Amino acid sequence: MGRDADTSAAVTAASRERIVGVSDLTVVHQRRGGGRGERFAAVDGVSLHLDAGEVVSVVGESGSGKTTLAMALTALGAHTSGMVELLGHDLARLSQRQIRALRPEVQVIFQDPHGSLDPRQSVKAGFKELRGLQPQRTSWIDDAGLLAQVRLSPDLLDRYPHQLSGGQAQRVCIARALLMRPRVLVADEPTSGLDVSVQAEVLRLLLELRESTGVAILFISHDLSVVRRISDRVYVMRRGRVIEQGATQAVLDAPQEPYTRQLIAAVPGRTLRTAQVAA
Amino acid sequence: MTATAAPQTAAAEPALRIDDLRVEARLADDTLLLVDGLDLDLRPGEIVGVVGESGSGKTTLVRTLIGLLDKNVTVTAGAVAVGGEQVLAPGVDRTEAVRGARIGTVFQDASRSLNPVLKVRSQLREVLKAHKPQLSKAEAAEKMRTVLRRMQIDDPERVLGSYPHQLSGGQRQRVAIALAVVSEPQIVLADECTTALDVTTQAEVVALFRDLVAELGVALVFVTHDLLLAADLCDRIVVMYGGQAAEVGPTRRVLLAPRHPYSAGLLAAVPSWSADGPIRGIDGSAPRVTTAFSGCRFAGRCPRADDDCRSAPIPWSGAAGTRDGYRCIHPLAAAPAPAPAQAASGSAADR
Repeated sequence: MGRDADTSAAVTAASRERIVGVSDLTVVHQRRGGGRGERFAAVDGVSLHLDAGEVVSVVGESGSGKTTLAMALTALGAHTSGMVELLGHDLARLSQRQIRALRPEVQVIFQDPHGSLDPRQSVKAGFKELRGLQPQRTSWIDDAGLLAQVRLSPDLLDRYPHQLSGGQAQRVCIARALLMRPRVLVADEPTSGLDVSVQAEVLRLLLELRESTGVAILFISHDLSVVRRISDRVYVMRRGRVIEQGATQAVLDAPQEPYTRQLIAAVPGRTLRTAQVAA
Repeated sequence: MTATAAPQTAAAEPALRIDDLRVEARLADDTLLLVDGLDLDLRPGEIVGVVGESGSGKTTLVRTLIGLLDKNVTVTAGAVAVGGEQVLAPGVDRTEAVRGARIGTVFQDASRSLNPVLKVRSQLREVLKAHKPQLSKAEAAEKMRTVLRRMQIDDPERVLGSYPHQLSGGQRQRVAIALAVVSEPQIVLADECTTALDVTTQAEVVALFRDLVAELGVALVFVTHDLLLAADLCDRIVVMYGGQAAEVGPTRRVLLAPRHPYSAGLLAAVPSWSADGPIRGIDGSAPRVTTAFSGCRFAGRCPRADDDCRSAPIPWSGAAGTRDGYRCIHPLAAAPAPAPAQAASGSAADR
């Protein structure tokens, strides 16, 4: 119950400003190796919203359209029909220049932190490059302060990615995202490759940042136990469609759709759950 | 030849026996202890989970068992026996004779363990040619279909005729498992082989392993960083830390009443379905263990550590006649009773 109290406090503390609104979004891809002009909808008529300070998860198995959806709202991926609104702007009506101006508002953290960092660039040089791109936006904090935000020591500034552990590298990625003071953080399977102890630290960090900065977090994951612990609301996707949505506990404790039940049944830890119940 | 004469001893003899195994890596200026004093018995039909973070030594263990160590890494103490036959000891390496034939291995990334330019049929045939040369062409073909069906592949003919890139991630991992088991090994090593899969596929692969063990009586070593996943599949758990076993025991005991603070820390870090408290990680990271390291490897991250923990090697505490136990001088409280626990025993599980 402590969890509920925390979450609702956070939500009321932040203004309930709509950060992302997606309505009836469809993204059609050419099927890989199709060759016959075969097309399929990776995202098929999805509506979703994300308000300031919220943590919202999108769950589903590989190929369900989670990442395509996330990319559509970063304005990185094109969409076919429907509307994506970011901070009240309809992305389809914006010029490339206007989209570029909005882009810092949405930052993405990917699954493989080492894959998102330039191997030839020290942490410090990476920050410097970002500061060069957005001098005003990034002037709010110095490098050491930025690392402190993600609980890393300033000693790491001179390190190169290969000298960082997976957890450190992921925190550097989060720091780089934070530098832009985004309103939305899209976290696409950000802890999938990490050890559980490191995963726990990264999750805790994301929740702290939500508290301290009011950033809205869109969390993409297939790990329902993580989703259950960190998100306010959840969307369950299957084959490009949202098949179930609602408050996290409502959906995960009383799933209506067979597919959601199937996903829940696949969550590891049944042995521990039953053993605890027996004890 | 002893292998074929084994039937009477098979029951008594563990499929895999590891005694006091020590594996070292020589570097330019010092020597790292990658595996240190590891003991493990694995009986046919048994599933042991080897659980630990990156750097705990679990992958080195797998690579040692199949003789795929880097040049500067060697077994410097202890022994490994497969079906009663010694295959590894200092200066002894007969792993080539057992690799593939008696020990099958499934790696994390199926797309990399499969050959991208060969159809599944050719890859399975290659394994059978190497390890079951006596089979006729027809027998081999039948075996290939059987193994794929065992992997819950409904249309074995199509999959046999496919290249890896034409299969889904889940199918590729099934094919990788098929490659590991088609030669009917007694031992299967699965190294983080579900880590890259989504939960649904992961659950299916875990079910496959369970069936394989039940039907064929293979002994399975399931290496993972996911304690809860290991718990769902395994009979026993070995929690590894810094190259050593921190704790070994039956799954339920380790889950409900971990004795080693590291096991407890790992459990607390898992966002378990039933818990609602804050997610707690374990601060710090695994130490670099050189031959000069003394004391408990976990002391630097352990809430219970004191000077005694840092001053001398930590002895193994275990019951006589079993390999179960833990390596800690300030262990957490034992479970109140092994019998079906009453309401009062909840505290150990609630931590």
